[in-house]
Amino acid sequence: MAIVASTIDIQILYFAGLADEAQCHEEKLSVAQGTSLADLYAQLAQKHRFTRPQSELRVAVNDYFAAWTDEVNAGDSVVFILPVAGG
Amino acid sequence: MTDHTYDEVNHQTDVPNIDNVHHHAMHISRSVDEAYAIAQQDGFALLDCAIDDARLKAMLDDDGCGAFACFEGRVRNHNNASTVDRLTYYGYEGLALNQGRAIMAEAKTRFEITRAVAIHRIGALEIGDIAVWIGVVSAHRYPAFDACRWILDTIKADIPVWKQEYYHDASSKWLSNNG
Repeated sequence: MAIVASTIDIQILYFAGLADEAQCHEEKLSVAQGTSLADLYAQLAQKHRFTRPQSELRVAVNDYFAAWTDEVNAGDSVVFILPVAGG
Repeated sequence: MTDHTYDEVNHQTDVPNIDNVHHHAMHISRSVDEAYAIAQQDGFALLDCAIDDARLKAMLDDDGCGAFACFEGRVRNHNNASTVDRLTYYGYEGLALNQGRAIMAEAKTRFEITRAVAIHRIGALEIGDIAVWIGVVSAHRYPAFDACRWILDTIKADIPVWKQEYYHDASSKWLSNNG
């Protein structure tokens, strides 16, 4: 069988309530090339039963805020950012 | 990591397997001296031990500045009707440092200030501990006041730090500033 779509390896880090729901702080994943950050959150929200809709979150890639429409690249470190509570 | 920080972790662990998923976010990945060096260079750093405000204030010594404005955010003993025993801050250090550097650079373009420095603490804090410290110096008073407030508001909105409060009845809750 030929592999139809090529995949890339990425890493997800979880913080705060998302780490509670995912029950881990780090996860390595293979996803289809061309996957957007919004697609990625949708996949992981289903897998881990995240209770927060994407509209309440921000997303960061490689330690900088990113746009939900951005596609993930091989080796990316992705973090979904719940509403923050500093200060 | 020092023994002291592990003591703190054990002390505040109610559900060990859950707490493990947050352990990485309670500590910075560098030494205290490196954190203060980043604060001096970029204007913002995270720290996982008590904030030495005298050390930060010394970074702001400037004979050309007639004004020094400072804000200390401290852990208070209540939130609405609940009695708070202690709380824990968790940080995403990589993004916090990048975002903090951008905030402090923007503060300098928005206000006529000479220098500003801010530190946010993460880890287990007790009532009265300083969670965030901001200092601004300028030639005249208003830019120092205004920049100090803007920096605090922007840190609270954009720095990836999360807070979990522990209450007298042994329950706990995640808080948020904007959601």
